[in-house]
Amino acid sequence: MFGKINTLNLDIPKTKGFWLSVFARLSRNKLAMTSGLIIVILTLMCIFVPMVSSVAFDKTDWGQIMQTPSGQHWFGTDSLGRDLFVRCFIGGRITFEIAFAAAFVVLLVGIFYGAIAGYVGGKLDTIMMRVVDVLYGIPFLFFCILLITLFGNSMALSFVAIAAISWLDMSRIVRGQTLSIKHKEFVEAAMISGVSNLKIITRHVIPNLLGVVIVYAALTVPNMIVMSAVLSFFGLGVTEPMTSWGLLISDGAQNMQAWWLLLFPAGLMIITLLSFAFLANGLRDALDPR
Amino acid sequence: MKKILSVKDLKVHFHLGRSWFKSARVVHAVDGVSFDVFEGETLGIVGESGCGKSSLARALCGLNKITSGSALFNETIELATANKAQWNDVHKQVQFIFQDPVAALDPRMTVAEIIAEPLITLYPQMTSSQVMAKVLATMKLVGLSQNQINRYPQEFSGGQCQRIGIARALILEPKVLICDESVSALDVSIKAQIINLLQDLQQQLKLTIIFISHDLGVIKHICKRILVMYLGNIMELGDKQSVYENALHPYTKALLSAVPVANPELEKAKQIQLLEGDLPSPINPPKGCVFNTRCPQATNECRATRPQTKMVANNLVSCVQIH
Repeated sequence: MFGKINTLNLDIPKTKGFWLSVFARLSRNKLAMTSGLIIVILTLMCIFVPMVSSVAFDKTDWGQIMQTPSGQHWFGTDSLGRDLFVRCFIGGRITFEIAFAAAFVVLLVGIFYGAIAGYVGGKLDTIMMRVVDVLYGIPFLFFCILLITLFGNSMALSFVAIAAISWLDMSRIVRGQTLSIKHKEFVEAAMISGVSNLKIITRHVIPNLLGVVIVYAALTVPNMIVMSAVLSFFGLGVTEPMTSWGLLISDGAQNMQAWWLLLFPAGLMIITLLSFAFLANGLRDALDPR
Repeated sequence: MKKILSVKDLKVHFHLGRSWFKSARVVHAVDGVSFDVFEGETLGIVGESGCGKSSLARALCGLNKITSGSALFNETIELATANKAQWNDVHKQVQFIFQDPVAALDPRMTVAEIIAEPLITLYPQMTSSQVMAKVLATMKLVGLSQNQINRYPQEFSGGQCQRIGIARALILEPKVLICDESVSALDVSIKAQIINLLQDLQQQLKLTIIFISHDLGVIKHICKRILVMYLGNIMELGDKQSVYENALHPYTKALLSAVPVANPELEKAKQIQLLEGDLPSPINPPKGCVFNTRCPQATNECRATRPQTKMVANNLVSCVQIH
């Protein structure tokens, strides 16, 4: 935006940028950093474990049914003799895919929708927010079942369903923030300088509400993991032999005597959810220096 | 002298939406003011909180919509009906300095970006090296050092932030500077610095300044003419000398009597004319003279007829009892 100014070769000392100082504060928070590290490691494992593993996630082995965890099968095997370790990470991959993709859409749609409604205000704001209210009134599961009966069961659909419901919250939060930023004097200063409304939104409003949005996004991702798990638990979205954490947990819950079937996927999910919560907490503190 | 701004019967009203049990209400923030601003002068606008000073100032630079009346800028542009292109022309020549120096600067932008923004927006044809040269020159003008250019507003004190705000306003080389309580949020020593800076800049750049404050001491120091407002109306308008020494309107007298005097003997002997009660609501301004509810000399005539502004001695006054 103003990049051209800073690229001039001026003899001026660089000070720490805003995001650098946020990162510096975040890195002092051990819990948040550990959580971030765990998320990164889990994400990498979800990508690479199914790739490098010698057993395919859907390879059934009738000689190895319901094996307890061992050196050969680290997380044990399920009722069809499939290796749970690989299944946990292929399931994680699907879960993360849905959650991150949905979070991305939620951020994009929610921020622009909320910022425009809040900044323009008046009748447009009323109409846009009533639309949100109406959509909010549709029950989530009912909405999913409706989508599936209309378009058939697929993974893409569960992503659409989650994204379609989750952007509502984000747009409300962003609108509220925008309302408070809109009347700040620096926005008025930009108006007096003849800056167009769209530029004010992208240059002044959105950068100033990113802090809240990032925290909320970090809290949204676990929400979506839970949602996709709920959908899978009911048999919507992901179907066998593909799997997700929700499906694995549902499978484990039906075979309680084989404790490992429930413990490992549930444990992974809980670790992920906690990590996101701690990271969000740390981000909130780092973004607000007071 | 050339009239740079000619305001006639200007009204700024705000509509509060109709609620279930009340009919639509209107806030009469500025209710028919007329005055001229001449090129190169400093006009002070005083009045207590809520009297419409800020609404008036914000209307003159496009932040509030003008409800009715006229404000002719530079004898060419009518602000009440100006279109986008005309407003951009006005923005180049009328700039604003805010009350809260820190809140007026975007915390996510560096000093260079903040100061350059008006220039980049209103003169898009300028090259980046031209913009940069102008930014540095303006920073020097307001007393900021070059090596602060990449810092963020949080790293500065209030006084320095106000300097950045002034630099942002001056980079466009405006003709008129509107200062809305621009020094009220600063502590006394910094206040003096900023006021002196404004005075120096005015001489150097031949600026016209509209200076809004509730601090009569500051107004007396910096202004040539003074406009006293009460509840959206002009009470008195005149040269500094005649307003401070021969105030005619009872409201002006009351305001001036409340200013503390540095000499304890005089201060003890001084008669303070305290005004009773609060400012009436601008939603429902009093009939007749708006000041009649608190005026010590109010008569039935004051409660019935709205006074016209008229020239008495050297001042413009709106009071039915002064002839």
